[in-house]
Amino acid sequence: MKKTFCLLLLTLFIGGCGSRPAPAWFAAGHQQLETFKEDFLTGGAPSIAETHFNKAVAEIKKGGDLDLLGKAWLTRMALQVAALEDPEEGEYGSIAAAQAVPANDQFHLLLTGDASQADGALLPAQYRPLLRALQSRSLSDAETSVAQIEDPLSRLIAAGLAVRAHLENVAILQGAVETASRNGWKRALLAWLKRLAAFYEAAGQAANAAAIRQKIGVIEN
Amino acid sequence: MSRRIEFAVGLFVTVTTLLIIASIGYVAYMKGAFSRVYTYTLASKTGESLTEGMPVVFGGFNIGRVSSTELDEQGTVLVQIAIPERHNRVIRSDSRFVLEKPLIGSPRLLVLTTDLKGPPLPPKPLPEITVSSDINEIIKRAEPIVAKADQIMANVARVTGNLADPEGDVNRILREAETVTSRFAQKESILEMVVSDPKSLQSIHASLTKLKDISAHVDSVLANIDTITGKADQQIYGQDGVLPLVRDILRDLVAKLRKLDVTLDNLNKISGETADAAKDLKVLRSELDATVTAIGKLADEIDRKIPFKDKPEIKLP
Repeated sequence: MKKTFCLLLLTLFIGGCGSRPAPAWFAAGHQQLETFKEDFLTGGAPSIAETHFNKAVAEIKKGGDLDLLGKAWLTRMALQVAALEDPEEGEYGSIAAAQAVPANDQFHLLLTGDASQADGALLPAQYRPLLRALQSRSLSDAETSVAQIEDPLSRLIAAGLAVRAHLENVAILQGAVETASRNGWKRALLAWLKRLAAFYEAAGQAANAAAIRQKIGVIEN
Repeated sequence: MSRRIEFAVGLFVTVTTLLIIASIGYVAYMKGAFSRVYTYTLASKTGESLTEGMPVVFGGFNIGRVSSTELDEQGTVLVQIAIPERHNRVIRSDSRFVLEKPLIGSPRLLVLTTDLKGPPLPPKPLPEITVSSDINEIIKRAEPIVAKADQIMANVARVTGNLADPEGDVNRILREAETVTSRFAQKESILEMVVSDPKSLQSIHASLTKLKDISAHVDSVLANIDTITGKADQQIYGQDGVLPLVRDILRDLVAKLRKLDVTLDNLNKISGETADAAKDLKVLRSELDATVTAIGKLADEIDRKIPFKDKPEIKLP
């Protein structure tokens, strides 16, 4: 019975191959990258998050698609920006040198802070208003453009880009805190709370800063 | 007298001896001992599994045997096969020789001939023996596929396990829904007390009937989950698969319960003056709230668990 079941399953599986599903390496790479994103943002063990990222890269390398490989590294850099860390290029430089992908290059320019050189038409649509705000150095436009982004991760990345460009106010910082909090992204939440506390301290609002520090202490323990 | 006995004994011994010789001769003849034997030389890259005496088989019948194997100066294994004259007709110029190594049993040399009326096999060039270990090769090729199939089966089991588990969330919530609806149905007298409008009551009963139909539908789907886990993943996750169906049904269930929720709100307002009835209705209301929330969460969970409902895409975040 078990043999029959296995044979049936095998036959159906082979038959199912006719519908051209996503290649195994692609599906595995996608899954690993999604797990990496979740682990990174939620503050899972860094070694485990990195393991997932390395597996994602290894899977994508099986297919040899440098566009996707570049996107994986840019995703990692974007997450670091979302968590207010300095983006590490890793292998992106060598990948871009081997095969230039204009959309990836523009996103890389945006992440690394050279927004004035970036071409908005080649960026993902959600970042175009932010790019204009960064180029015009308008804090209010930056605040509006960040708040208008629907996708929470993109919103957090945009907030990180605004802060890196020294365009920050309470609304942007609190919006980022709320986004990270609502999605359970502890690592990002702590980073943004620390940034908000520092902002309050710099603005002379010691009581607000102390309240935030107290909150950070509770969350960290 | 004694001479006659001696003659009889001599005749008996002679006849018996002749009969024995004739029998042996007949058996030897039938076994082809006196027929001409044709010898063919074949070439093989390896002598592995080739042994003297190995049967040569055509169409499932032994037609000869391997008479000798030796290595020539070029390192080629020369294999001589002996084929009796009566079977020689199957060795033709288009004959192919395959060393079959079955998973179970001894190796044998297969003769594959398409045209039995073709010219005889020429002595040169030496026909080459090919090796077939089809089953082993199939097993080797099948191993990664089986591994993938196992993986799929594990995923299917994981995703559907909760649905199939009598103590799982789905069944628990359905039981809760059933409890709520059955209790609600039993409250007809209370409802009649607090609701003077017969149309409202009919409307509630109609909703309850629909709700029960849906619950029964979900139950039947769940009852079949075990049997469908072995089917193709398309049938589980595909557009018309079972999981999306369950998800849609649960969403429908939620929508129906919310309609009842509105009705109950109205009932609560009407029954404000009837303390006992209102108390009962408040209990119903709280149960209904809990069920709606639980079913909503379950629908979202099932929705989330359906892998690759959209084509996976690696894009910039």
